[in-house]
Amino acid sequence: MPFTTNRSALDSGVVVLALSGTMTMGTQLQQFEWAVEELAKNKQNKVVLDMSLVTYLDSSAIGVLVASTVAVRDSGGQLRLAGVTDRVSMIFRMTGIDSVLKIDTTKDEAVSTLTLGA
Amino acid sequence: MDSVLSVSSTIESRVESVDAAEDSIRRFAQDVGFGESDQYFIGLAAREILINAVKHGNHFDHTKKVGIQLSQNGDSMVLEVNDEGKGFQLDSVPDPRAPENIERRSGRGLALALAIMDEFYVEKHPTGTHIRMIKHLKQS
Repeated sequence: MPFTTNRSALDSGVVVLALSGTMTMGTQLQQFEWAVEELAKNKQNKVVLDMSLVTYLDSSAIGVLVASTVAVRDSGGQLRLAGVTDRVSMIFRMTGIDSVLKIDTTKDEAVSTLTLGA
Repeated sequence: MDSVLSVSSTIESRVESVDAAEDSIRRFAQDVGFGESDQYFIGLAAREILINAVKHGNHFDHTKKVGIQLSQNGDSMVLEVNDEGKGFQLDSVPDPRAPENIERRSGRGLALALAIMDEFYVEKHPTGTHIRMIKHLKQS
């Protein structure tokens, strides 16, 4: 399944990026990373990645998620993941990256956390 | 026990070639008898090693090939990958889980393959690097 990103901006200032498909090394992954960098640069730095439709990812995608988390953090904001499937969670645990990424069960929880400024 | 399934192929040093090879490897895992979850993770392990072979072994050089051998050995699937690179020492690869490496954007592929597969071997040959990975069918 091709990797796609759909963006929506909430009244609270939180940007939700709904990701879908397989996140693997390639052009779409690079474009996603650039999009997050642009958000961070423009101080749109309350970002939720809705991962509920991401079925598969490789280590390149993990690297982009980490880099994106750091980029938004360094801009003074926070990036949170939501709706991560069991298999993707397992992949995160295999690499230990679950200790770095901010992960919520649902998109609403992630949005609420960022809105309340936690 | 003699192998009952065996497939050999070569791919070009391109990411697109890895995508197609991964699909073939998942189908082979299915033929060996692995369930859908194991097929998923075997495919991921294979992908990570193939990407490493293309990127770090062959440096995306289109004149260099990556060799793939798949075989069934009893209740196990054996996946072997050859590249034309200079090789590496398994114990000298940085641990991506270490605190000083955890925020690095790369270096996790090998760790994933090691976590997924049951056995993992690296050999350096005059013509390149040979990796052999084995996954055992778990009896329920």
